[in-house]
Amino acid sequence: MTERILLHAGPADSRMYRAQLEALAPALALDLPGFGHTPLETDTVDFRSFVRHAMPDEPATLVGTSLGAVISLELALESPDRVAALVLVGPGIDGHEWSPEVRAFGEEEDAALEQGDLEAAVEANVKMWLAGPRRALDDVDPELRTIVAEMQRNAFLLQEGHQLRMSPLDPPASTRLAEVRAPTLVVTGDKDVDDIQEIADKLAAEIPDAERATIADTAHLPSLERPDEFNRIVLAFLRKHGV
Amino acid sequence: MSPRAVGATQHELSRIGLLATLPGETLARLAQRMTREDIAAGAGVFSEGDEGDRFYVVLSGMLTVSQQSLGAQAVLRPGDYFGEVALAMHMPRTASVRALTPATVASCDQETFDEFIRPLFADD
Repeated sequence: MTERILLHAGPADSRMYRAQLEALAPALALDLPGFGHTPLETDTVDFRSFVRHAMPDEPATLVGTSLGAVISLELALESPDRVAALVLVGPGIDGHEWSPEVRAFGEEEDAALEQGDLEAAVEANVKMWLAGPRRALDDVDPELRTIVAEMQRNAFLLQEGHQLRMSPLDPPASTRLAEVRAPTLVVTGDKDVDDIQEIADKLAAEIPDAERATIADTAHLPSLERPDEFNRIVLAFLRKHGV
Repeated sequence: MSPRAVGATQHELSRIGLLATLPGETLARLAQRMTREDIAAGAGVFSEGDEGDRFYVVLSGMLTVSQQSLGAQAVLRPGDYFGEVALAMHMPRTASVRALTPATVASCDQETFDEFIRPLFADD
């Protein structure tokens, strides 16, 4: 059985996998630079190197959500011998043309931060990514809203004074999906934004033999909101591939 | 582990179940004598068989307790404590503790354990 390395989403940190550390054991959840316990020291971060440094010598399974999925996919392309399997949850991808809906969210977040209104920026993220565009905040468990708000607030504070950017993969992952050799599962929540569904469908279509799953009644953070269903789907995939 | 140059706070210790009954003044004195440490995901705090000389409480993150013969035994979360067996029984560590996420713990030495913590186990 391979070690499972859990990589969090942009509005979150390692706490979003609190219900996976036992269920998916042996598993580790990291805090990427600028999130959770890990300070941000430069504007441009080589997340792939950071994760590779934390990985065991033997090939590991990468479970990544959103930002974590982007890093996982890029690592599988950059260091194929280190990655035994991929679980990409609510994935992003380089070069995606974001919809007016997502761009409007980004503008709302930027405006709030420029005005120094941290709480408005936090709430915009909780609404967009935890609840998703098709649910009201009140439709989501208040405890989860509090946890995600705390993780996002902490990330904003750690990133204050920096323009966080990912060190790009060259050539970019979007042009190399057919090169992925690791067994891959692509997962989305059915309440996530349409952009994420489109990206997930593209990855599932272009990564060789990739599998696709959708979890009902959750948006961008299914491991946190629907942990039992998430764990069942991921464990079935890992067992099927002997990892 | 990379020790920070600060101890725990009284507020943090008040959230540890075992310590919740201690008076505020006692908690404040205990907090001053504890050392705070950040632990990277995957790093060990101690290993089974090590000499045990500190008692720990979990301030943030999750850690796993395991034994060579039995495998993983428990997951520790904020508010939990560990390491008391070796100090109370004067024996080597009976299990290994490793961080599953980046974690922060606070710990104290044998003398502080004997003064503040050991009496809390007196009725067990």
